[in-house]
Amino acid sequence: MTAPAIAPADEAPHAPGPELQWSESCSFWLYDASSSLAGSLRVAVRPNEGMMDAGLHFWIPDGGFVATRHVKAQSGNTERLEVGDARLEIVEPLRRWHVLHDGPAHSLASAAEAGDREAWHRSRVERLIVDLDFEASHAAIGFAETGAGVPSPREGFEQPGTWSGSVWVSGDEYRVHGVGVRERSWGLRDWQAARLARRFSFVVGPDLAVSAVRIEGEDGVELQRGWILRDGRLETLRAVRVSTALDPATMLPQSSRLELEDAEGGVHLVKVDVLASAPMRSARNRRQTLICESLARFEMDGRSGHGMAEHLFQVDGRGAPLSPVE
Amino acid sequence: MPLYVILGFDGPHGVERRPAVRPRHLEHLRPLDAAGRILVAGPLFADDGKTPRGSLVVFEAADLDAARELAARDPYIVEEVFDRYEVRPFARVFPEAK
Repeated sequence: MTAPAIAPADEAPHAPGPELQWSESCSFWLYDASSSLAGSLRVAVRPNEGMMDAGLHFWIPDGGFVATRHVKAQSGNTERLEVGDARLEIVEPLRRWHVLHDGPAHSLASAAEAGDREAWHRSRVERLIVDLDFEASHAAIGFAETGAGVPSPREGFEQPGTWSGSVWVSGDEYRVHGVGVRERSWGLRDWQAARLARRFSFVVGPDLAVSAVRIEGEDGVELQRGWILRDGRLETLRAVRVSTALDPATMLPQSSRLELEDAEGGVHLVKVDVLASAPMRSARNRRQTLICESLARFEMDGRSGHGMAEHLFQVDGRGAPLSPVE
Repeated sequence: MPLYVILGFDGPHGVERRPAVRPRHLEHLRPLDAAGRILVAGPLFADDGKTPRGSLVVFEAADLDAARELAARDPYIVEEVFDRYEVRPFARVFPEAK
């Protein structure tokens, strides 16, 4: 599959589709190996729902988890990605971004507490200041998660890059010199549509970054996509096979094994160990979805790196998967 | 029946895992060998000619999907001796048929 071409115009808002849950989102993750600080930042515009929201999550080196979410009314799509105390600024399209936040955030003892409503009530409220610059290290890599029967069809692009700046949590400053990947995407965002969706994005070093996605619908439709960026050369994936082990006690993802098949037929094996998983619930139309956003360590080509592993599946009232997560 | 090649490349733990996994790897290929469908198979070595670095199997399979399926079940892949592998259609040129 050839990656769709991306132009600077794609950095501007796209015309909304007719679906209620159509959205355009800009998201980033970061990892700083010197401090082990990790973060996930997202702003989404949902014009047909008349709102936009922002979420910032930080995995703090002491094991804590700091999160904040902002929501505001918004009619129509917009290029002004500012919600509450969070703001994303394009400094140079497809090249440089500035991420800002100054406001309260919940501080949890661990990412795992993100799935516990009571923990949010008990949480300490901290001042979270974010002043970060992202600089892309590669041209935008387009994707199309589309096709007959694909749940939540979306288009978009990703870019690996580097981070600099600082994150303050109630006076503790983390100077950031990290790596990460950004994504901008537009289309239907229906968390309840997929039976199982897994997304992996990681950076092993300046010469190696990977994105791999596997989405499975209720009716057996599978979408597999991704890329390996090695020494500046882009290899598009034609198959992404995933096996995931859940922690039997928590039913949260513990590890995964990826088989990434490139366009030439080479299969790259990746070991994924979840370090800290933040389970978030989404409920809609009487379906409950668990979205586990996890800081993870990845092993590939005899080297290790860090990044994000996202596992999404439908659950029953007790949080158990409705269908096997294999 | 068409020929295929599996080229497997050891990961960082390949050297230490190989001895324990090898009996299961051989057991996996034995039925294929018994059916006369393996042309050649064996380990690849580092320049010292002693340290394993991967494996090569040239074999017959019904089609590419069947060849890939066989590879995916190989204990060297399942138990992470390899960290990368390829399955390719293969054509024998030599030795020439007499």
